[in-house]
Amino acid sequence: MTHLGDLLSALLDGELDSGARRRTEAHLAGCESCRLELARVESARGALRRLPMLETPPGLIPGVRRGRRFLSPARVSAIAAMAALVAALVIGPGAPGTAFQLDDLGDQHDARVVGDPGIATFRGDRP
Amino acid sequence: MRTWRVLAAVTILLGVPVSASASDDQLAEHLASDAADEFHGSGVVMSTWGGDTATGTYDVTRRDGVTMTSGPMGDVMATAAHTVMRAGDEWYAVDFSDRSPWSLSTRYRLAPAEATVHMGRSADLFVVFDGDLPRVRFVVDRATTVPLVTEVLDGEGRVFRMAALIDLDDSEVAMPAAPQPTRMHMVVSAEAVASLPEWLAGYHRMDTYEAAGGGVQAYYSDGLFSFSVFEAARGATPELFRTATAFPASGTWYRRVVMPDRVWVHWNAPDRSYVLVGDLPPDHLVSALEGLPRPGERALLVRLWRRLFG
Repeated sequence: MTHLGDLLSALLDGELDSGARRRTEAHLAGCESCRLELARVESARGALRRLPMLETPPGLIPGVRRGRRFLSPARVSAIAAMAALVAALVIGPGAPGTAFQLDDLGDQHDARVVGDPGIATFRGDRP
Repeated sequence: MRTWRVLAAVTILLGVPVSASASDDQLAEHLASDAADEFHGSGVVMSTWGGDTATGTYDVTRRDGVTMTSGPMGDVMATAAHTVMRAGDEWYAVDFSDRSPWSLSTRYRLAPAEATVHMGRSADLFVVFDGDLPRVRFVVDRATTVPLVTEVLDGEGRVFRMAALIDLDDSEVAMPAAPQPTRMHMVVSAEAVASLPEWLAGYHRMDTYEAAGGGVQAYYSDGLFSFSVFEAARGATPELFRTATAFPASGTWYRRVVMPDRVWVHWNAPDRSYVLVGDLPPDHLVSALEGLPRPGERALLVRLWRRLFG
């Protein structure tokens, strides 16, 4: 039997859609193990919420945002998908830009060289 | 690609006999002199550059001020008024809206000539020095003043490029056939280019133009060698360079393609792409690259932004 695992956190965070929520609740109704696990998670969260708030000394941990919650599986998935998209955009080949047309550039260089003296000059009478 | 044809021009270099008391002024005079000789010649040209070797053949006819160079990879006809080039089955004329006058760098010096014989013809051997280094050796036919052999040396005194006539006929030269049809006339417009240096390794940025297909062309010359730098918005690497030889210069890497008469170099800077094409020697090339934007990748956020918003 497959237990709910991380779905419990998503359930508590209210992040399941109606279908997933019904299936999760149906599983909980028949699964003692998952009900106990859900109770432990709820209890732990409640205990955390009851802890006193302490002021962090200024500069102790720069940039730490207080009150951040653990990421739910749904959020982790969304962040992972976004990271993959960014990686594809940055690292992936993307649409090729315009490449030099070397024949045209060679002609343009040759045409400029013609008429100038020099050892590589294809000289007619100069203009 | 019609890469062999400009080097074919080494066969039509000089028009005035050279005295034994040559100097850099005389070199400029010889290079700039009009050549009225009529001849037909066929030759071989090759370059050896860091393990890359390329060989080609050329065929040159000159008569009445018209010079036709032709071969398997392209044809060019030059007259006093026009340069006409072949593209497929068609010819087109190319003119530049502006063209700075040619001048020879003072770093070159022509050593006194030595008499010699080549292909059974009386000739003179000339050596052009670049500072203390021999840079070019010519064997010039006395009767026609056409160079029979041209050797270009790198910074270590090794020949890296050589062109040699294997056949020269200066009697009863047939007039080159006029190219037909010539329907297109391309005028290359001058374009201000602020991003590329005025001087590179002793080469002066003579002119700047709009480049075919977008971007700009900066044409550099020291009077003896020349090259163009094409700069455009960063784009895809041309197919020719995807498997080209990578070579180091000034602490970074570039890709090059060695042709019989020239070298092509390509690289991508963070926001621009570059192609350099010319006949400059390897040591000059490395010095020139040091003065140009270096290869590099865009910052991650810039790449992301460009992918999303162009």
